[in-house]
Amino acid sequence: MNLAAGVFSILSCLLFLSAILVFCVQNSVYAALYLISAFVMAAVLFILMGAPFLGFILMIVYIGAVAVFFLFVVMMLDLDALYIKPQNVKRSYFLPISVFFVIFLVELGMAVALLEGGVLQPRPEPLSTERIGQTLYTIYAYPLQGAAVTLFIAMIGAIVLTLRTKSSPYSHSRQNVTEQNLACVGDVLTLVKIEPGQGAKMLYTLENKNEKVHNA
Amino acid sequence: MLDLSWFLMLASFLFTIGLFGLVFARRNFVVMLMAIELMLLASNLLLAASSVNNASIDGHVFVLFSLTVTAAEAAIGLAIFIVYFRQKTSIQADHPHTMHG
Repeated sequence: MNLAAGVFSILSCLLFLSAILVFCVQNSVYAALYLISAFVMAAVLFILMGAPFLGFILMIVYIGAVAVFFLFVVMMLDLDALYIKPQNVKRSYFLPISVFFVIFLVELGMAVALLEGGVLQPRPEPLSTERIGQTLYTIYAYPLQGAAVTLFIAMIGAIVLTLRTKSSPYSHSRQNVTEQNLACVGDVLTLVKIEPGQGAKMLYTLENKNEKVHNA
Repeated sequence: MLDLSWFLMLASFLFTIGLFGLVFARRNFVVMLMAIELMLLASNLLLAASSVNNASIDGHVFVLFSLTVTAAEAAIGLAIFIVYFRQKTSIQADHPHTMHG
């Protein structure tokens, strides 16, 4: 049992423990915190296996964005009212201790990876960030654009889903099946012959007319 | 020196935990989404481990793409959850068919 195997075992045990506790706690805020803990362990495992760039990206993206999403949503919706109230514990010690623990784990992973020369990889040259960038921006340039489009569409979708206006206070994305079935081509499609230079104006007046009809 | 089988075991155990959580998560929307995150994390771990083991860079790139999809999925899932919560004042996924419109 060498050093790398020991560190790997401890980290994976903590990872399993956090992953199981996500489903065992009653309070959703605690579940999100255990999820963050699991992400930290996984990031340290990435660093340990010899992929430090991915480990830090995982920390930034998963912990900084996704897990904080979860915490934000859970806290914004005030689910505490539906669940058991958390007990009043002294939280002042938890923050510095957990920060020190995370930094310690990252340093441990990096140190072991350096000592053993990349735990999974016996070769001298590591998979460097430079090579990842070169591959990502040359061979995988089009998939990279596709990933950007995916994120953009997800952003638009999330905004459209949760948008609230006065006319529809619950959600903008409510569906009126009767209205959809009764719709005909003239309601939704207008063919306009646009002269160069004044097309936008014409369309704007048409939209205004439609609004007036709806209001009446 | 560890070999790939350690990481294979780790990833499959983690995936199984996520799967069981997804099935038995008390029909709670947020916890179900967290289970999906854990399963994606397990697959990412395995991808990266195989990539490092084979000294190939493609697995790293795919982990990056997978992270993108994960972030998009979390955003959309939580948006749907917020809409559901506004209408039902509940986070139990007992009646998802009410979201038809």
